[in-house]
Amino acid sequence: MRIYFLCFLLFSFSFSFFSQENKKNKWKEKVELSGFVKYMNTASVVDLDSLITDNLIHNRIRFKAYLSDKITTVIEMRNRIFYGEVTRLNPYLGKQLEKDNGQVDLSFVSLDRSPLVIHSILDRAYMRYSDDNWELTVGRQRINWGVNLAFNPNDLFNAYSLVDFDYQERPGVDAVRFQYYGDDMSSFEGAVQIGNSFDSSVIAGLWKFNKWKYDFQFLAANYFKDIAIGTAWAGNIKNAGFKTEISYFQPKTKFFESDGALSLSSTLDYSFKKGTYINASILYNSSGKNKPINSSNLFQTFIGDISAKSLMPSKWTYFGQVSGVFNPALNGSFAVFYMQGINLALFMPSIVYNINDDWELMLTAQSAFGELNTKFQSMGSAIFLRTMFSF
Amino acid sequence: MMKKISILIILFSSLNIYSQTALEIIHKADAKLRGESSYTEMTITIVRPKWKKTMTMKSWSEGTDYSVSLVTSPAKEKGSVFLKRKNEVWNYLPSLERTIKLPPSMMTQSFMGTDLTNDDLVKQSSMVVDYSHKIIEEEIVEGLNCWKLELLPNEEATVVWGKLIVWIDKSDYMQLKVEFYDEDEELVNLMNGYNFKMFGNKKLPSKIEFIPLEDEGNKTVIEYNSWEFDKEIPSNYFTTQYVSRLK
Repeated sequence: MRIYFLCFLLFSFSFSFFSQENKKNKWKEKVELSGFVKYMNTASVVDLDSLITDNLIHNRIRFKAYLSDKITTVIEMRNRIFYGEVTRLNPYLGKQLEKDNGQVDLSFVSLDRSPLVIHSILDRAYMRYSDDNWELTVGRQRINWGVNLAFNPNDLFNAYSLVDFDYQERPGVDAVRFQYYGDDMSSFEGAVQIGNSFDSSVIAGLWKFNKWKYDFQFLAANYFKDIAIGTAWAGNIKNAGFKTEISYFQPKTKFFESDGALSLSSTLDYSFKKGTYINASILYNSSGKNKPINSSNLFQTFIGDISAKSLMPSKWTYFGQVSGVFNPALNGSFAVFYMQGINLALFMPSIVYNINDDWELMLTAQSAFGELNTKFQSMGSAIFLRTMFSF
Repeated sequence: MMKKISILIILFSSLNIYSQTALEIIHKADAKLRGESSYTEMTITIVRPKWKKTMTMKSWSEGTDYSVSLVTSPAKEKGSVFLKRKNEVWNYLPSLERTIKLPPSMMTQSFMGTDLTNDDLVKQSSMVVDYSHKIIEEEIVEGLNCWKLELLPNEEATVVWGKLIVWIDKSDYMQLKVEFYDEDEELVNLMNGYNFKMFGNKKLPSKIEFIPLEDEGNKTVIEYNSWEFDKEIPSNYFTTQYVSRLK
């Protein structure tokens, strides 16, 4: 399976080069190259007397070629250079990064010499055929079915966490995706994330339409070891936005005897005059925990282990965000996650300064407070200073 | 008695004609800007006393209900799309590959940091349907003979302005100047059109500036690099499914 997939990708690469040869004069119309380079300095505080720092140079290269009116190839590469004290403290970082979860190994660690690790991965590599009312996409791609900002129970293929602010693009999945577009914003979509067996694959269908000024969607899937069904809507209550996503997962083994898992998220958002925006969301995860977890590895629980089935470790999670524009160059936001039961709060203030059209400076902090061994205390903070150049 | 009545009738009917004309003028100016459908390429510059930002955009529109705009530069925002269908608005973010439906309250917000609101960009028909119109005098603007019109919002209209004063030139129905007053009749924003050019067979201002008067040194300048009218636009351009395919 892996080999077929690789052959297909190689074929698409070579095909793209051949067709460019023939039409050199239209080079610019046919090929788009863009991306960014970021430098981020992280200072992590566990206790006030121990501060450790780390550095990350993060580059993304996006390549898009219009091979014909209907065929597009997209390849995106993520390159990162880690160096500093945190990198030194994790001797397994290189090994962890090397692993590619897809069907084809497109992840490479080119240097792993503590405290310096260089990692590259192709997280998009697909070909797309687009006709008037249908599209077929094959390869590593992002399939995003979420409608909410904070929590997306419908995002079966690539669950997203706002905590992971430095990787909005998310890893791609190796999949085949077919989209059919009907009238009046209706569409049907089928997608298969190829695994080595039925229980390591996702096979899903999504039906979308717009009615009564609401976007609606329904989905059904073979989701790894579960059967999943879900629905979502996005509309308004007066001038506020109202969005809800629900997914239900039932294990295939002992289908009738076992308990399923419900993942539900609802959001209200509103924009005030002068650019202040507020978002209030709630997430219910029926399989979540309802008491303190006493784990010191916090960020793993926020970012590492999330899936559409379990977006947050707690049964009930509340999210609130206020963002505002001070002037066109400067904007800020303040977000809070609170996990009931686990009794843990995460605060995320952030300021972004647009230096000019291409350069941006961002200062963000993440600070967690929670119950650890029956005491409510600070559970660590990190401050991130990031410079970004887009091209 | 008969004479008095007929004078009154003549007076009323001429008043009626006069107000009809005001509506007609606004209607003509608006219809000229829109056509059945339109395609524009524009450069938007946000000017602040010590800072400046330039964006380029492509926009497609059909009638008053459907419009879609694609940001083509700067690099960081390239590929972002704003889609409007009647009263519904969506925003596509290419880095997330996700389309998010925006709350209606977002419409009164600044469009991407400019001095225009989202409403200003997508709700252009408002001047015709949401206001009552009256010609108050005639003036010369940019060397052209203009009607000066006063627009007052209709009671049921959901508009943010308390009053608009609009200058429209008599030969080409171009909107050369608009004064925006708040509910307390205080002048808050100014719009000027200049650099007249022929776009197809229509003469229009190719540069428009919006000036918020309360902040000195702030303005937004829109320059139309291309403006095509009555071009056939496939209806799927105005769907959430197509936003990632626009180019």
